[in-house]
Amino acid sequence: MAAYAFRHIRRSPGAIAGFLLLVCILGTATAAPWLAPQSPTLVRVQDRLLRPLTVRDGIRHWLGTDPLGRDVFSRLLVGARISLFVGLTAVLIGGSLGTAIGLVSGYYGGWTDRLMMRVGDVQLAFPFILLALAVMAVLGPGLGNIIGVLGLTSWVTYARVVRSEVLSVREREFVHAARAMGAPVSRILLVHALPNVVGTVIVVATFSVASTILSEAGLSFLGLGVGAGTPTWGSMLADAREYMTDAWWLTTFPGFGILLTVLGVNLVGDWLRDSLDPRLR
Amino acid sequence: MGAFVARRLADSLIVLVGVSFLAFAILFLSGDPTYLMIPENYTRQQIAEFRHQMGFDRPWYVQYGDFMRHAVRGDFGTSLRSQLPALPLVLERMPATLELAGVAMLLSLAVSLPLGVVSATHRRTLIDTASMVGGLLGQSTPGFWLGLLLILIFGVELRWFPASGRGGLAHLVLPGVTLAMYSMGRNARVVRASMLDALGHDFIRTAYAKGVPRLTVVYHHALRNALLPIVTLIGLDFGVLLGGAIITETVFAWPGVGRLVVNAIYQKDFPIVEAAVVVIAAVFVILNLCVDLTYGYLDPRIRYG
Repeated sequence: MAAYAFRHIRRSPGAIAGFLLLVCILGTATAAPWLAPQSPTLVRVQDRLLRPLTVRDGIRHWLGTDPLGRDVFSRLLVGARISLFVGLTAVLIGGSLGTAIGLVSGYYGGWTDRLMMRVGDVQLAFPFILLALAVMAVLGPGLGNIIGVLGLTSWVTYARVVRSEVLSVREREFVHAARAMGAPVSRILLVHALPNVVGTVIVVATFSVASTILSEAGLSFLGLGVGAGTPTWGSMLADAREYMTDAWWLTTFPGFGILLTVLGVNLVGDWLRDSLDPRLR
Repeated sequence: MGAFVARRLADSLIVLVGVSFLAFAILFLSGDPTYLMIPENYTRQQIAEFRHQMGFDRPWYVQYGDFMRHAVRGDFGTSLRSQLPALPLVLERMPATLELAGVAMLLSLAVSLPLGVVSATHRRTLIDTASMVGGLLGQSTPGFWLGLLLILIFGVELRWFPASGRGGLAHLVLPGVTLAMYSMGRNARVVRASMLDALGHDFIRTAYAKGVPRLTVVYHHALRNALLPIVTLIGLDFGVLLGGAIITETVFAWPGVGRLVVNAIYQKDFPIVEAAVVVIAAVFVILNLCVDLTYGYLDPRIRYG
């Protein structure tokens, strides 16, 4: 499967572009402490709203400064770390939870299944952002809270996809054989069912990293994200609104940060879907 | 058909009860609203009396029962700020939100349907590549950022369209485009995939073989068969658009439910949040019910059994 996928990538310019984008973004996010010209929270009011590429006191502000004189490029790098961290951890939580629920739900059927699927329906009847907003309003902003909210509210898609796979796997001969030989349910689920759904889960998870990053940015934009003090792309855009007409760089760069990251993830997701699971096309 | 509708209605009802429970739980977990409602100079005795009078000292299931008894009569309590009933406040804002979401939906379909069809019929040409790259970009752009850019370019610099507020058709352009962008991109990609699927069937070859004109084959034979996944998507889209409207309305100061709910959240005005959550969920559930019912019309092979 993997070998096929990697043969496939050479014929897909989109996938190559996506990987390059992600490698660049991950690289700069990882190297942020060494790349940042100054501390992202250092306030220098005398240097407020400098245009991009301005040099002041030997420091080149590649992307200019904000109304408090903080270096936009340094803040953008920290924002990248937070976006990626929130995206990946939330998806890990939602994906594991959803996969587990889907496995159990699909294998046992009966009332557990009906209950879980109904709970999923209830959650899908909500515009997701409204649910997240309401929960964040109750919990208050914070990194842990936003990861929890985005993770715990995203299980439904995984659970549905995994469940339907398990429903068909359950009736296959090798599962009947395993059961006849006395394999415990945990073994049947983990050794026989899980490998059959892993490809699908990876594809769903990749797209969900993209949508999680967008959701985090949206919530931060509304002031219900990671919280004051931490520079995130969403909150930088919210702060930029006031200075939109005077300082175009404040609105432009954080937005491109989000756009390019999400685009990279989506491109890789497209390629994964085509090579791992053509049925999802 | 009757049995199917009845079962779907029952399902929808269960979902709405679940939504109401979730809405209640959010309110309940947010803590005792007493302190938001009383003057600061109340004594401890007065606070206790007030809590008892409002029923905040009862167990959660009693309070939920009470909440449900009122909710089915359309009574979600009064706004903690304005003291006006919550439900009418939400319903009053609903037309503005539906107008915005409706325009975005039309815009999205008007662009994505033809784009998707043409991309499928002209596979691997410049048109196909360009519209698919465009679709991917639309899907990857954060709506609120696009909104800010559109305001900056078309509202402030060029002054072509008003940058905020609700009014005539001109007011709808920028928020409509902003809200539509995500689903436009996604739908164009889905329409293309589902058209490619439909065009690969044997009956398409048969139709060409017996000399049916190309346009008839594409639009009559293939598109009709490709419509089913697209209709499903429209139902789901409405959820995305209603959710997206919350942020878009904030960016464009659009006087809809989204802005109402965001402000209510800032002010911890939970009756408003509850009423809005239930109303939005109800709209979404009803729309999806309608979508399910159109399946049979589009594809006579589907029997509601």
